[in-house]
Amino acid sequence: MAFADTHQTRPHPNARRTSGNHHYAALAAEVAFQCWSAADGVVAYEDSWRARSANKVQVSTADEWQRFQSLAENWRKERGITSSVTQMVLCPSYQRIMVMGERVVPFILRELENNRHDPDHWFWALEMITEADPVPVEAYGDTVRMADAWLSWAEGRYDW
Amino acid sequence: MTGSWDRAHTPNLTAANHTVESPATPRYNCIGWAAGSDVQWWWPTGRYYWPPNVAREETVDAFIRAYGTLGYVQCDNGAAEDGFEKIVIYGKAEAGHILPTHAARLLPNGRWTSKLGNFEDIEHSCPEDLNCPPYGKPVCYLKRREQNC
Repeated sequence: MAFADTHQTRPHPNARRTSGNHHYAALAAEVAFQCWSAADGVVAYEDSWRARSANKVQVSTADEWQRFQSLAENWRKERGITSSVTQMVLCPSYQRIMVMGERVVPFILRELENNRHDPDHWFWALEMITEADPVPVEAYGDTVRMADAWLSWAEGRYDW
Repeated sequence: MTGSWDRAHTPNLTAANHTVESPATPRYNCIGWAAGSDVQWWWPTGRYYWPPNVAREETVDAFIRAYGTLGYVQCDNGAAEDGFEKIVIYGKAEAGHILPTHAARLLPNGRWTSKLGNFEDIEHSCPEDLNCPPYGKPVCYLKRREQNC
């Protein structure tokens, strides 16, 4: 199997990332560490996935798509009626989705695109996994514009 | 209209004390809705809306200051007052301090309007209708002069 182009589709950290200006910076760092640690453990699989992704052939993701869908459904139950972004992202199923690492990014992007007029709160996971921060300050809190910013950023970086 | 949230989370809501007023949507939350927005999710963490120059921290004080940018000041209770709009902030004790959880806004008809997380917004009779484990209870009332726009 050829893994020569392994890194060609890896998204680059966005230079616009701002410093953690809130008291969850430590949490963010820990979650990001967990995500990348998990990803490191499946390097071979990811290399294979990236090689296929580079050829724009999405294969062997059905099981993971199912797992993502199942976790997303559980997350919507776990978060209940909270308005707290902190509480939402600390839900066990959301954490499990983040631990899936970069492999889950195309699934999240698909979710955002399919619900472009009413996108769910995938932004924290995207930011932690990709280390990018494409949402302009003026779009903060406007989930439609936040989703648009992420989908624009992902063009050319991911297939979904 | 029927609500889609798990009623076990809101044990004090009854058929008699509330009505569902909107479809469910993740587009806005209770904090933004109490401030008058139906297109913004307000929260002090992540890339969510928070008024400029207000500390991005989950404290009742920061939430009071956030609404302060709209002209609200603290007041004693949620009783309707001619010429004033009111907001109530809910909180629950966690790790030695009060964690803000929810907000509702007093309507001109004397009822309160609340957006329930990612679910629907509702009208309810009084703030205590939403005393519940996820939200705790009312911890602070705010008011401002009626806006004529």
